[in-house]
Amino acid sequence: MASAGSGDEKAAAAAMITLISSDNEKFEVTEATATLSQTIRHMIEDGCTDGGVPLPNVTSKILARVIEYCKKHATAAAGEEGSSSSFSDAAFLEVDRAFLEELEEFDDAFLEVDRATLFDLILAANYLDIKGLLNLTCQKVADSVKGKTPEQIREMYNIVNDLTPEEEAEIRRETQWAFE
Amino acid sequence: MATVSGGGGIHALCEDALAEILVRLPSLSVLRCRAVCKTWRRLATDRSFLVAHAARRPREVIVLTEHCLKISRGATPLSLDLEPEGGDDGGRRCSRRRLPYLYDPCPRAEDGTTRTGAFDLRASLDGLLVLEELLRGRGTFIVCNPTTRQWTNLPALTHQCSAAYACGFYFHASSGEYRLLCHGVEGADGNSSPGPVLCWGPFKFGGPGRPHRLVTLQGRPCSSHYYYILSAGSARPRRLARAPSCRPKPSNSNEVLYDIPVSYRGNLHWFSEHPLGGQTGKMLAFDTASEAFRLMPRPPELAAEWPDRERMRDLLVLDGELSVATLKLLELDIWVLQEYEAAGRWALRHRVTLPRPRDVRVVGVPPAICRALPVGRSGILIACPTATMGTVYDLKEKEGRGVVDIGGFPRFAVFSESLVPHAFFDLPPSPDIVPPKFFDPSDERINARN
Repeated sequence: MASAGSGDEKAAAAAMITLISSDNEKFEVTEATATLSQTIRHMIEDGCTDGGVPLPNVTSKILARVIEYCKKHATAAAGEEGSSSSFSDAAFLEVDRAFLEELEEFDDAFLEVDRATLFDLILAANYLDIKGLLNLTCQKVADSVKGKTPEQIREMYNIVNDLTPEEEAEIRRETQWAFE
Repeated sequence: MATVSGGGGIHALCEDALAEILVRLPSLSVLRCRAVCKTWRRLATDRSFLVAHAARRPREVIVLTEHCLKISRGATPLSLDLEPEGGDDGGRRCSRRRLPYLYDPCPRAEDGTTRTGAFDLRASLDGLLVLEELLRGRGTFIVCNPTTRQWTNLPALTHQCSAAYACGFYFHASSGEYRLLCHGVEGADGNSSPGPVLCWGPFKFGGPGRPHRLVTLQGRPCSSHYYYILSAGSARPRRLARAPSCRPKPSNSNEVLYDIPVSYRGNLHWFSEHPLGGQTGKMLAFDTASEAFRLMPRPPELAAEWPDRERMRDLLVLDGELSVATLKLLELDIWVLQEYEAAGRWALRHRVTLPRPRDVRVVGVPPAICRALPVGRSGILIACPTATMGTVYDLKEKEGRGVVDIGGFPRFAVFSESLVPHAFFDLPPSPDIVPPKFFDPSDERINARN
């Protein structure tokens, strides 16, 4: 896989992984980017990434977004490793803070997607086991559910209430104060 | 696994992914989600989901604000957001928000006037609170979950003991039981006398952060002392072992004193305030698995008998190590117990000077630590009995992180919500006990005080 590098050190740093979406599109990413996904990290450790990693559950549209997220956050992770060695360096901390702010802005902009895309991202993050992306996307949906009544939640997400009236009454009676 | 392509509604999510969303909701929302549909109900009542949900709840601080028996005490929970979501910015921020009351310590009758019972907080663990009914004064304890509003009483010690003191609350892993360790005093002439007097010590050494004293009537001998275990869900108390009898006091009264214990590696620890603290200069530890006591060393500098007026101290777990914070004027020392399993060796880890508090509400220089708590990754909150403000200090970056308005004399318990079910709540509580009154959002009087 590390054919691009000339020296051995460079080769390790620049190792590329090919990800293949469900609609057969190929994406070349660095190992640092790909290993934000625990699923892919394990595949690399098991040495089964030669010839590309097929991701039959992820469309090219979603995979492109996931890679965009991973690229940004892989840089952040690299930056954090560097910062721990010079923790007391005030100037460095300033840079660190500025970068964290930039990352937050990136995350906010990243979440500006329609609901269907958001759910697709959650599924992809869950499947690929990308902790940060899963947290980011799930929190967005959780925030929309927070404080809503069951009726509002059903309406918002087109959920059919398949509880019998008796079952629903029982649930409400158990923790009555939660529904007031 | 369903394919992602062409997904759309929330039903397209697999249950794993849906659980990932629900686990991020506050407890009240999780309860509501149970009424959305069958799938959501199944997820939101699943035990392993509820355990994961409880593990994600932020740690909050309960501060008890009023300390005189004659005044109604308020239990004002204060969230310090000790571990902010995201974690990237761990110890740097320390926001606060007011929470509703966890419980009303002074339940009222229907007409809203009569005070028929009063509870005080004795322990907080895994979303459960142990409360003691004060008017009985002889060890009537209840365990409640303020998040699910369930409660039941622990086995009563009233038949065995004329006085009882809650030492610590722990989870006994092999039996799966939650247990309260009590120091009981037997046979102190309970029938003919009005019984032991609960004496609160907020204005004594150490302030309200120090535990109250349980004082038997002056001059009366307390014949025997035993440790008892009160298991949630069992009918009777279990006598564990003889307890050290009280050390003699100049006031001629017998006292039983215990710190609020700190739990570390399956052991509860009382640093200096326990019956053997003065004469041995050692720390008392209780193994929650074998339920046996042992003495452990204190730093030689801190072996002096309590109270040390110059240097106040508090035990806490900092960065995964059992530590003790001491404060002398503005000089903060952090001692760390190394090689814990091999009986331990204390080392001075940090010596820093706290910033002089700028806030006008802080009166003078903090004379004593009331409580010290870890905040985020490298922060420590230090609160003193004379100030209503606590100082947050970052031990790594060696700078103050500001002050937190605690809103009263600090007597802390760390709390985090849990919806995990417990079978002992299904048992009918003793009919003699006035039920604790949990926070009611419609109760304007509580809201007004909040």
